[in-house]
Amino acid sequence: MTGSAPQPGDATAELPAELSSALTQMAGLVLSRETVDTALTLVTTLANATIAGTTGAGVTIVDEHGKRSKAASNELVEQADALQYEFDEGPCLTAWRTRQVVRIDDTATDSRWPRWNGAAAHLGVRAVISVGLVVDDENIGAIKVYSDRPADYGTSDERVMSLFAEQAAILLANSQSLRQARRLSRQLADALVSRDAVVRATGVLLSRGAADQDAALIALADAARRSGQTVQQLAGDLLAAVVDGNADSSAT
Amino acid sequence: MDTENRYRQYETARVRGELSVQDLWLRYLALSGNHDAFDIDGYLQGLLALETSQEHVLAVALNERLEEVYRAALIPLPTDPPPGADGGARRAVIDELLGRDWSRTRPSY
Repeated sequence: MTGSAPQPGDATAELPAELSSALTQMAGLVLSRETVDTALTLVTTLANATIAGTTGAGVTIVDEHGKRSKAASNELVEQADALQYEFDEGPCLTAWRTRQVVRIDDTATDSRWPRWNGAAAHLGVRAVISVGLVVDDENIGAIKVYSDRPADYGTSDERVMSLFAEQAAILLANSQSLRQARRLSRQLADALVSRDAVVRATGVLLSRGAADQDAALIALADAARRSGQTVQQLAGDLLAAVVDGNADSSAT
Repeated sequence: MDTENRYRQYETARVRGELSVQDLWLRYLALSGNHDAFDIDGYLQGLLALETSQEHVLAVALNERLEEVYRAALIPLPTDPPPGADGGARRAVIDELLGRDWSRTRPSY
Protein backbone atom coordinates (compact mmCIF):
# COMPACT_ATOMS: atom_id res chain seq x y z
CA MET A 1 0.00 0.00 0.00
CA THR A 2 1.48 3.35 -1.00
CA GLY A 3 1.18 6.59 0.97
CA SER A 4 -1.03 8.12 -1.70
CA ALA A 5 -3.67 5.41 -1.35
CA PRO A 6 -7.06 6.87 -0.47
CA GLN A 7 -8.61 6.25 2.94
CA PRO A 8 -11.57 3.88 3.04
CA GLY A 9 -14.00 6.70 3.70
CA ASP A 10 -13.15 8.89 0.75
CA ALA A 11 -12.31 6.18 -1.77
CA THR A 12 -15.55 6.15 -3.71
CA ALA A 13 -15.83 9.92 -3.93
CA GLU A 14 -12.78 10.18 -6.18
CA LEU A 15 -13.40 7.17 -8.37
CA PRO A 16 -13.61 7.63 -12.11
CA ALA A 17 -17.11 6.89 -13.42
CA GLU A 18 -16.08 3.79 -15.37
CA LEU A 19 -14.46 2.27 -12.28
CA SER A 20 -17.51 2.80 -10.06
CA SER A 21 -19.66 0.93 -12.51
CA ALA A 22 -17.15 -1.91 -12.67
CA LEU A 23 -17.04 -2.11 -8.86
CA THR A 24 -20.83 -2.16 -8.66
CA GLN A 25 -20.97 -5.08 -11.08
CA MET A 26 -18.38 -7.01 -9.06
CA ALA A 27 -20.19 -6.32 -5.78
CA GLY A 28 -23.35 -7.86 -7.23
CA LEU A 29 -21.51 -11.07 -7.98
CA VAL A 30 -20.13 -11.58 -4.46
CA LEU A 31 -23.56 -12.37 -3.09
CA SER A 32 -24.69 -14.75 -5.77
CA ARG A 33 -23.67 -18.35 -6.30
CA GLU A 34 -21.26 -17.89 -9.15
CA THR A 35 -18.30 -20.05 -10.01
CA VAL A 36 -14.66 -19.06 -9.97
CA ASP A 37 -14.67 -19.17 -13.76
CA THR A 38 -17.58 -16.74 -14.00
CA ALA A 39 -15.84 -14.38 -11.59
CA LEU A 40 -12.58 -14.60 -13.53
CA THR A 41 -14.31 -13.86 -16.81
CA LEU A 42 -16.20 -10.92 -15.32
CA VAL A 43 -13.07 -9.41 -13.78
CA THR A 44 -11.18 -9.80 -17.05
CA THR A 45 -13.96 -8.22 -19.10
CA LEU A 46 -14.32 -5.34 -16.65
CA ALA A 47 -10.57 -4.69 -16.55
CA ASN A 48 -10.53 -4.65 -20.31
CA ALA A 49 -13.33 -2.08 -20.41
CA THR A 50 -12.23 0.01 -17.43
CA ILE A 51 -8.65 0.90 -18.38
CA ALA A 52 -8.73 3.14 -21.45
CA GLY A 53 -6.68 2.05 -24.46
CA THR A 54 -6.53 -1.58 -23.38
CA THR A 55 -6.37 -4.19 -26.12
CA GLY A 56 -6.36 -7.21 -23.85
CA ALA A 57 -6.73 -8.12 -20.17
CA GLY A 58 -6.03 -11.24 -18.17
CA VAL A 59 -6.32 -12.58 -14.62
CA THR A 60 -4.52 -15.52 -13.03
CA ILE A 61 -5.21 -16.87 -9.56
CA VAL A 62 -3.65 -19.70 -7.63
CA ASP A 63 -5.38 -21.57 -4.81
CA GLU A 64 -3.71 -22.91 -1.66
CA HIS A 65 -2.86 -26.19 -3.40
CA GLY A 66 -1.03 -24.33 -6.18
CA LYS A 67 -3.77 -24.94 -8.75
CA ARG A 68 -3.82 -22.13 -11.29
CA SER A 69 -7.03 -20.72 -12.79
CA LYS A 70 -6.97 -18.02 -15.41
CA ALA A 71 -9.03 -16.02 -17.83
CA ALA A 72 -7.91 -13.89 -20.75
CA SER A 73 -9.89 -11.55 -22.96
CA ASN A 74 -8.19 -12.77 -26.11
CA GLU A 75 -5.56 -15.08 -27.54
CA LEU A 76 -2.84 -12.44 -27.51
CA VAL A 77 -3.10 -12.20 -23.72
CA GLU A 78 -2.94 -15.98 -23.37
CA GLN A 79 0.21 -16.11 -25.49
CA ALA A 80 1.88 -13.24 -23.63
CA ASP A 81 0.98 -14.93 -20.29
CA ALA A 82 2.25 -18.31 -21.35
CA LEU A 83 5.58 -16.70 -22.23
CA GLN A 84 5.93 -15.33 -18.70
CA TYR A 85 5.63 -18.80 -17.21
CA GLU A 86 7.90 -20.23 -19.87
CA PHE A 87 10.66 -17.68 -19.18
CA ASP A 88 9.76 -17.41 -15.48
CA GLU A 89 9.99 -13.65 -15.83
CA GLY A 90 7.66 -10.81 -16.73
CA PRO A 91 5.64 -7.96 -15.25
CA CYS A 92 2.83 -10.12 -13.79
CA LEU A 93 5.17 -12.50 -12.00
CA THR A 94 6.97 -9.48 -10.54
CA ALA A 95 3.68 -7.80 -9.55
CA TRP A 96 2.65 -11.06 -7.93
CA ARG A 97 5.87 -11.55 -6.02
CA THR A 98 6.48 -7.94 -4.96
CA ARG A 99 2.83 -6.91 -4.53
CA GLN A 100 3.59 -3.68 -6.36
CA VAL A 101 2.09 -2.14 -9.44
CA VAL A 102 4.29 -2.82 -12.44
CA ARG A 103 4.07 -0.61 -15.52
CA ILE A 104 5.93 -1.06 -18.77
CA ASP A 105 5.74 1.96 -21.08
CA ASP A 106 7.29 0.20 -24.04
CA THR A 107 8.29 -3.44 -24.20
CA ALA A 108 10.60 -2.56 -27.11
CA THR A 109 12.81 -0.41 -24.87
CA ASP A 110 12.23 -1.69 -21.31
CA SER A 111 15.22 -3.63 -20.00
CA ARG A 112 13.83 -5.20 -16.81
CA TRP A 113 12.58 -8.46 -18.32
CA PRO A 114 14.67 -8.75 -21.50
CA ARG A 115 13.44 -12.14 -22.71
CA TRP A 116 9.78 -11.53 -22.06
CA ASN A 117 9.80 -7.94 -23.33
CA GLY A 118 11.38 -8.99 -26.61
CA ALA A 119 8.86 -11.78 -27.17
CA ALA A 120 5.91 -9.60 -26.10
CA ALA A 121 6.93 -6.75 -28.40
CA HIS A 122 7.11 -9.30 -31.18
CA LEU A 123 3.51 -10.38 -30.37
CA GLY A 124 2.37 -6.75 -30.50
CA VAL A 125 2.16 -6.07 -26.75
CA ARG A 126 3.79 -2.68 -26.14
CA ALA A 127 2.47 -1.23 -22.86
CA VAL A 128 1.53 -3.17 -19.73
CA ILE A 129 0.13 -2.58 -16.25
CA SER A 130 0.07 -5.48 -13.84
CA VAL A 131 -1.07 -5.56 -10.21
CA GLY A 132 -0.88 -8.37 -7.68
CA LEU A 133 -4.14 -9.61 -6.15
CA VAL A 134 -3.83 -9.62 -2.36
CA VAL A 135 -6.48 -10.63 0.17
CA ASP A 136 -5.87 -10.83 3.91
CA ASP A 137 -2.16 -10.43 3.30
CA GLU A 138 -2.13 -13.41 0.97
CA ASN A 139 -1.09 -13.27 -2.68
CA ILE A 140 -3.81 -14.95 -4.68
CA GLY A 141 -2.75 -13.92 -8.17
CA ALA A 142 -2.24 -11.04 -10.57
CA ILE A 143 -4.24 -9.03 -13.03
CA LYS A 144 -2.87 -7.28 -16.12
CA VAL A 145 -3.89 -5.13 -19.04
CA TYR A 146 -1.99 -4.89 -22.30
CA SER A 147 -1.98 -2.22 -24.98
CA ASP A 148 -0.64 -2.41 -28.52
CA ARG A 149 0.57 1.21 -28.37
CA PRO A 150 3.64 2.29 -26.39
CA ALA A 151 3.25 4.76 -23.50
CA ASP A 152 -0.49 4.16 -23.42
CA TYR A 153 -0.74 3.98 -19.63
CA GLY A 154 0.10 6.59 -17.01
CA THR A 155 0.07 6.98 -13.23
CA SER A 156 -3.70 7.55 -13.14
CA ASP A 157 -4.20 4.20 -14.89
CA GLU A 158 -1.92 2.62 -12.30
CA ARG A 159 -4.13 4.02 -9.56
CA VAL A 160 -7.36 2.86 -11.18
CA MET A 161 -5.87 -0.60 -11.68
CA SER A 162 -4.80 -0.76 -8.01
CA LEU A 163 -8.28 0.11 -6.79
CA PHE A 164 -9.82 -2.28 -9.28
CA ALA A 165 -7.45 -5.06 -8.20
CA GLU A 166 -8.35 -4.61 -4.52
CA GLN A 167 -12.02 -5.26 -5.23
CA ALA A 168 -11.32 -7.99 -7.76
CA ALA A 169 -9.13 -9.79 -5.21
CA ILE A 170 -11.99 -9.87 -2.68
CA LEU A 171 -14.41 -11.19 -5.28
CA LEU A 172 -12.01 -13.86 -6.51
CA ALA A 173 -11.09 -14.95 -2.99
CA ASN A 174 -14.80 -15.33 -2.16
CA SER A 175 -15.39 -17.43 -5.26
CA GLN A 176 -12.42 -19.59 -4.32
CA SER A 177 -13.74 -20.07 -0.78
CA LEU A 178 -17.09 -21.08 -2.19
CA ARG A 179 -15.45 -23.63 -4.48
CA GLN A 180 -13.41 -25.00 -1.57
CA ALA A 181 -16.52 -25.21 0.61
CA ARG A 182 -18.31 -27.19 -2.09
CA ARG A 183 -15.35 -29.52 -2.50
CA LEU A 184 -15.18 -30.09 1.25
CA SER A 185 -18.88 -30.83 1.48
CA ARG A 186 -18.54 -33.47 -1.26
CA GLN A 187 -15.53 -35.01 0.51
CA LEU A 188 -17.41 -35.04 3.82
CA ALA A 189 -20.31 -36.87 2.21
CA ASP A 190 -17.87 -39.51 0.89
CA ALA A 191 -16.16 -39.76 4.27
CA LEU A 192 -19.50 -40.36 5.98
CA VAL A 193 -20.37 -43.22 3.61
CA SER A 194 -17.09 -44.89 4.54
CA ARG A 195 -17.47 -44.09 8.22
CA ASP A 196 -20.93 -45.64 8.21
CA ALA A 197 -19.57 -48.92 6.81
CA VAL A 198 -16.60 -48.94 9.19
CA VAL A 199 -18.73 -48.24 12.27
CA ARG A 200 -21.27 -50.91 11.36
CA ALA A 201 -18.55 -53.48 10.61
CA THR A 202 -16.84 -52.81 13.96
CA GLY A 203 -20.30 -53.12 15.52
CA VAL A 204 -20.61 -56.62 14.08
CA LEU A 205 -17.22 -57.54 15.55
CA LEU A 206 -18.26 -56.09 18.93
CA SER A 207 -21.41 -58.21 18.96
CA ARG A 208 -19.20 -61.25 18.31
CA GLY A 209 -17.02 -60.58 21.31
CA ALA A 210 -14.45 -57.92 20.37
CA ALA A 211 -13.37 -56.17 23.58
CA ASP A 212 -14.13 -52.64 22.42
CA GLN A 213 -14.38 -50.33 19.40
CA ASP A 214 -10.60 -49.87 19.40
CA ALA A 215 -9.89 -53.62 19.30
CA ALA A 216 -12.51 -54.10 16.57
CA LEU A 217 -10.99 -51.37 14.38
CA ILE A 218 -7.48 -52.70 14.82
CA ALA A 219 -8.65 -56.22 13.88
CA LEU A 220 -10.35 -54.77 10.80
CA ALA A 221 -7.26 -52.77 9.80
CA ASP A 222 -5.01 -55.77 10.28
CA ALA A 223 -7.26 -58.03 8.18
CA ALA A 224 -7.51 -55.33 5.49
CA ARG A 225 -3.76 -55.09 5.25
CA ARG A 226 -3.33 -58.86 5.06
CA SER A 227 -5.82 -59.10 2.18
CA GLY A 228 -4.54 -55.99 0.38
CA GLN A 229 -7.68 -53.90 0.69
CA THR A 230 -8.65 -50.70 2.40
CA VAL A 231 -10.52 -50.84 5.71
CA GLN A 232 -13.52 -49.34 3.94
CA GLN A 233 -13.57 -52.10 1.27
CA LEU A 234 -13.20 -54.83 3.86
CA ALA A 235 -15.93 -53.31 6.03
CA GLY A 236 -18.29 -53.28 3.03
CA ASP A 237 -17.45 -56.91 2.15
CA LEU A 238 -17.83 -58.00 5.76
CA LEU A 239 -21.27 -56.41 6.04
CA ALA A 240 -22.32 -58.03 2.76
CA ALA A 241 -21.10 -61.42 4.07
CA VAL A 242 -23.12 -60.98 7.27
CA VAL A 243 -26.24 -60.05 5.27
CA ASP A 244 -25.73 -63.11 3.00
CA GLY A 245 -25.24 -65.34 6.03
CA ASN A 246 -28.44 -64.05 7.61
CA ALA A 247 -30.35 -64.58 4.36
CA ASP A 248 -29.04 -68.18 4.16
CA SER A 249 -29.98 -69.01 7.73
CA SER A 250 -33.46 -67.50 7.43
CA ALA A 251 -34.04 -69.48 4.21
CA THR A 252 -33.32 -72.83 5.89
CA MET B 1 8.38 -45.39 20.99
CA ASP B 2 8.56 -42.46 23.35
CA THR B 3 4.92 -41.45 23.90
CA GLU B 4 5.80 -37.80 24.25
CA ASN B 5 7.26 -37.68 20.79
CA ARG B 6 4.92 -40.08 19.05
CA TYR B 7 3.21 -37.21 17.25
CA ARG B 8 6.45 -36.59 15.35
CA GLN B 9 6.20 -40.03 13.82
CA TYR B 10 2.61 -39.28 12.76
CA GLU B 11 3.60 -35.93 11.29
CA THR B 12 6.48 -37.53 9.40
CA ALA B 13 4.09 -40.13 7.97
CA ARG B 14 1.67 -37.39 6.93
CA VAL B 15 4.39 -35.51 5.09
CA ARG B 16 5.70 -38.70 3.49
CA GLY B 17 2.15 -39.57 2.42
CA GLU B 18 1.83 -36.08 0.89
CA LEU B 19 -1.47 -35.44 2.68
CA SER B 20 -2.70 -32.03 3.75
CA VAL B 21 -3.95 -31.94 7.34
CA GLN B 22 -7.48 -31.58 6.00
CA ASP B 23 -7.16 -34.59 3.70
CA LEU B 24 -5.73 -36.65 6.55
CA TRP B 25 -8.58 -35.53 8.79
CA LEU B 26 -11.15 -36.59 6.17
CA ARG B 27 -9.55 -40.05 6.00
CA TYR B 28 -9.49 -40.26 9.81
CA LEU B 29 -13.14 -39.24 9.93
CA ALA B 30 -13.97 -41.90 7.32
CA LEU B 31 -12.35 -44.50 9.58
CA SER B 32 -14.57 -43.52 12.55
CA GLY B 33 -12.30 -40.86 14.10
CA ASN B 34 -14.11 -38.42 16.38
CA HIS B 35 -11.94 -35.31 16.61
CA ASP B 36 -12.16 -32.25 14.40
CA ALA B 37 -9.48 -31.07 11.99
CA PHE B 38 -8.10 -28.50 14.46
CA ASP B 39 -7.52 -31.20 17.08
CA ILE B 40 -5.69 -33.33 14.54
CA ASP B 41 -3.58 -30.37 13.48
CA GLY B 42 -2.81 -29.63 17.13
CA TYR B 43 -1.87 -33.26 17.78
CA LEU B 44 0.49 -33.35 14.80
CA GLN B 45 2.23 -30.28 16.14
CA GLY B 46 2.57 -31.74 19.59
CA LEU B 47 0.19 -29.22 21.16
CA LEU B 48 -2.46 -31.59 22.42
CA ALA B 49 -2.87 -35.28 23.22
CA LEU B 50 -5.27 -37.78 21.69
CA GLU B 51 -6.78 -40.80 23.44
CA THR B 52 -4.99 -44.02 22.50
CA SER B 53 -7.97 -45.29 20.53
CA GLN B 54 -8.05 -42.08 18.47
CA GLU B 55 -4.32 -42.35 17.88
CA HIS B 56 -4.97 -45.82 16.49
CA VAL B 57 -7.60 -44.51 14.07
CA LEU B 58 -5.17 -41.82 12.91
CA ALA B 59 -2.43 -44.43 12.52
CA VAL B 60 -4.70 -46.62 10.38
CA ALA B 61 -5.49 -43.60 8.18
CA LEU B 62 -1.79 -42.82 7.75
CA ASN B 63 -0.77 -46.44 7.16
CA GLU B 64 -3.41 -46.83 4.48
CA ARG B 65 -2.09 -43.74 2.75
CA LEU B 66 1.54 -44.91 2.96
CA GLU B 67 0.48 -48.28 1.53
CA GLU B 68 -1.30 -46.46 -1.30
CA VAL B 69 1.78 -44.38 -2.12
CA TYR B 70 4.00 -47.48 -1.95
CA ARG B 71 1.72 -49.54 -4.22
CA ALA B 72 1.41 -46.68 -6.72
CA ALA B 73 5.21 -46.66 -7.06
CA LEU B 74 5.50 -50.41 -7.75
CA ILE B 75 6.46 -51.40 -11.28
CA PRO B 76 3.94 -53.87 -12.73
CA LEU B 77 5.26 -57.25 -13.88
CA PRO B 78 3.53 -59.71 -16.27
CA THR B 79 3.27 -62.23 -13.43
CA ASP B 80 1.05 -59.90 -11.34
CA PRO B 81 -2.45 -61.28 -10.83
CA PRO B 82 -5.16 -59.17 -12.49
CA PRO B 83 -6.96 -56.81 -10.10
CA GLY B 84 -9.73 -58.49 -8.15
CA ALA B 85 -8.19 -61.97 -8.54
CA ASP B 86 -7.50 -62.26 -4.80
CA GLY B 87 -11.15 -62.94 -3.93
CA GLY B 88 -10.08 -66.05 -2.05
CA ALA B 89 -7.86 -64.11 0.33
CA ARG B 90 -10.63 -61.57 0.91
CA ARG B 91 -13.16 -64.27 1.71
CA ALA B 92 -10.67 -65.95 4.04
CA VAL B 93 -10.06 -62.84 6.17
CA ILE B 94 -13.79 -62.20 6.47
CA ASP B 95 -14.43 -65.79 7.55
CA GLU B 96 -11.57 -65.50 10.01
CA LEU B 97 -12.92 -62.22 11.45
CA LEU B 98 -16.48 -63.49 11.76
CA GLY B 99 -15.42 -66.86 13.17
CA ARG B 100 -12.75 -65.53 15.53
CA ASP B 101 -12.82 -66.53 19.18
CA TRP B 102 -12.33 -63.08 20.71
CA SER B 103 -11.76 -64.42 24.22
CA ARG B 104 -8.43 -65.84 22.99
CA THR B 105 -7.17 -62.79 21.14
CA ARG B 106 -5.55 -60.45 23.58
CA PRO B 107 -4.88 -56.90 22.51
CA SER B 108 -1.25 -56.68 21.47
CA TYR B 109 -0.80 -53.00 22.19
